[in-house]
Amino acid sequence: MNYWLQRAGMAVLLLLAVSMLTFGAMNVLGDPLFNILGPVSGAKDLEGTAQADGYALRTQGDIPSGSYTIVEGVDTLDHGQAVLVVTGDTLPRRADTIAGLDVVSATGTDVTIVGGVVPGQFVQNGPEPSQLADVEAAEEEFYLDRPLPVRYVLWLTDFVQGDMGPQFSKTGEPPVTDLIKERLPRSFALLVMAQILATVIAIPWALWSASKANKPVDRVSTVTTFLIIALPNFALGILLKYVFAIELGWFPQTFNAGDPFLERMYQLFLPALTIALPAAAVYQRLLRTDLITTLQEDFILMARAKGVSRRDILMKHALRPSLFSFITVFGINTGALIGGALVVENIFRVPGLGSAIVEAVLVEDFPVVLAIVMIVAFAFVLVNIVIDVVYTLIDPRVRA
Amino acid sequence: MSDLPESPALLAADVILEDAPSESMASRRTLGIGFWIAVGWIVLIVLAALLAPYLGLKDPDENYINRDLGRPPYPPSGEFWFGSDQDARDVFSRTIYGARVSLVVGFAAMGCGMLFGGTLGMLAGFLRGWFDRVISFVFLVLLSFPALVLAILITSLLDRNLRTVAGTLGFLSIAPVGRLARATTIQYSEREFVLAARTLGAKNGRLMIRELLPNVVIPMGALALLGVAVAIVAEGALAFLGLSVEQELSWGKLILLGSGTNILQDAPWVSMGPIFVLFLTVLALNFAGDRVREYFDVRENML
Repeated sequence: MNYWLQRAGMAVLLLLAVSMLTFGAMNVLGDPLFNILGPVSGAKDLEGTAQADGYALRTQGDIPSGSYTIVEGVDTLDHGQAVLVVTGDTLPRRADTIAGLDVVSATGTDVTIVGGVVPGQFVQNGPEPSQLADVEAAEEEFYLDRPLPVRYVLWLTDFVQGDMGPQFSKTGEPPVTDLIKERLPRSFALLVMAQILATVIAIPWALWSASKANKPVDRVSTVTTFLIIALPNFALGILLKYVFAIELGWFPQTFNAGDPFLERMYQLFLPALTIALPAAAVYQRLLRTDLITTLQEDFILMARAKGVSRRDILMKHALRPSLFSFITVFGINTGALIGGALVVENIFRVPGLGSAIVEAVLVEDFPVVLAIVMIVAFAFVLVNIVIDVVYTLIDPRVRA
Repeated sequence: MSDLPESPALLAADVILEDAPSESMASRRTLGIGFWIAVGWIVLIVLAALLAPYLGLKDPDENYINRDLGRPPYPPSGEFWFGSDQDARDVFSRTIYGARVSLVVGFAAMGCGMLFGGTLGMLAGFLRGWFDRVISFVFLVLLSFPALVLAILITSLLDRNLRTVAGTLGFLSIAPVGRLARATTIQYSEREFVLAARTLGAKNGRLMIRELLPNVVIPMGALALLGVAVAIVAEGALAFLGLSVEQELSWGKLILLGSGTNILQDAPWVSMGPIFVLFLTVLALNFAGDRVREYFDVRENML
């Protein structure tokens, strides 16, 4: 009992560490506000830059203040808009106002500005009050005005209660929770299917080659596993897609979410096979080695002496005690397969978590990325615990 | 082991990852012809990548439209060894140029992993105590979710150039390398020759560098070869997702460019060329790594 408590505590600690790392990295290295609002997010930085005569400057570096002329040809400068100064000591002329300020006299040619500009500098107008309001609203909604640890705790509280927050990109719809609910079952189905396929391929294959250990057939199958393992899954996926979906036309090339269940499972077969084949090769190698070791034990000799058939020896006597490392790697591999699924989903256009995380990464939609990373980590930890339980079930020795 | 509760699953994994000894004793005494073929291929690919501009290859970005052949893409021929893509660019020379990024990332990532992971792992294994516990936990955290997810996460936050991609994959290889270094160090630091050196008054630094390091380096070397292969594949996967080096070509990007349904239908060679070379390279690295490990894997009961 004590052991399981420790184990669970460890798992929670691990998940916390993972979430802190991810959350921290995304907030420190990324700019959440920019991802939510786009260029408008800069509004707050501009706040102090609007000058009394209607010109807003956002300069890069220290530039001496002085007198500058209006650039001809540029009449207005929208809020937040930037213009590159090309002619030296000149500034864009504008006719409209920044809210609350008077119209700038169009006749004026000399304007004094605090700061100043040089060629190659961007001149940017100050923010519109509504933009400032947007920024403040967003900061409040996403807790961005709080310090990082507070934000983390707030996020964690929501997350544990099943609210993964709004998406950063677009309009924040659908909420991340809904997106995950839509995508997760597909990835889950894909992984389960892949693991079942891998097991179904690996066990008979291992039994067969272990019963013919070191004979030519066994050597050929060992070489085959080696070749399969050396083929990266994206390459394997393209090969399978080319052969079975394009040349032979046996399987559809893409996944269609609207189709009935059986059809969708059929569409998932090729992606699942792409994930399953290398996994099966790994499992086969392990299981074969363990089977060969088991087959040299005394109880096998005993069974053989009693006249048990070769088939029964393999299936009933040797298989179960040889399953330990297989089960272990089955669990550890689940993590690697999740990684593989990300890539494979993109080859076969399966809209699962894998494509979701890639899409989210490209637009830097952190809540989505964070949610998916946490789901993956949680699944990984869970699988490992389940494997420990399975261990105690199949091996009485571990129960002590 | 540290005080952290470790699951039987993870403990067993340590044993399994070491892999079982090969059945044939004879094959272990020499590295075998296969090893040298594998090394030959690796050297060939590395040289080709290094010398790519001087080999008289076609320009990888130039369109070699040949009116006699009609509209590109051209199938493989004497002129285009691996065929050409739909813009009549030579797939063979693109593959060789792509090797540069793939190999640099592969070797740099592993070098980084060896340097930092090896040092941390050895220190943890040698010093033990709280330092070991902290480092082991960090390794566990890093290993506790799919490396590719981490890689996607990191590359998404940084500018994607050669240095950041190699650095990311290097960072990710610290934990696996460190774990092996730690385990090997623990195994050796309990041996008599270390005790003897300590009795003679050797300081910690000397013990680590003169006594332990030479023993830890050998299993690490085998791991390094496998690790380079893993890093190359990881870079390929990242490139395939559009998250690797943005400017230059790499094998993953070439495969991605040839993987669209239309191009795959019309000109499968555009992706098959790079796939073939990538496959052979990974195969050679895996095989060489396996052989090196078996070669040096002298167990007590065999002496």
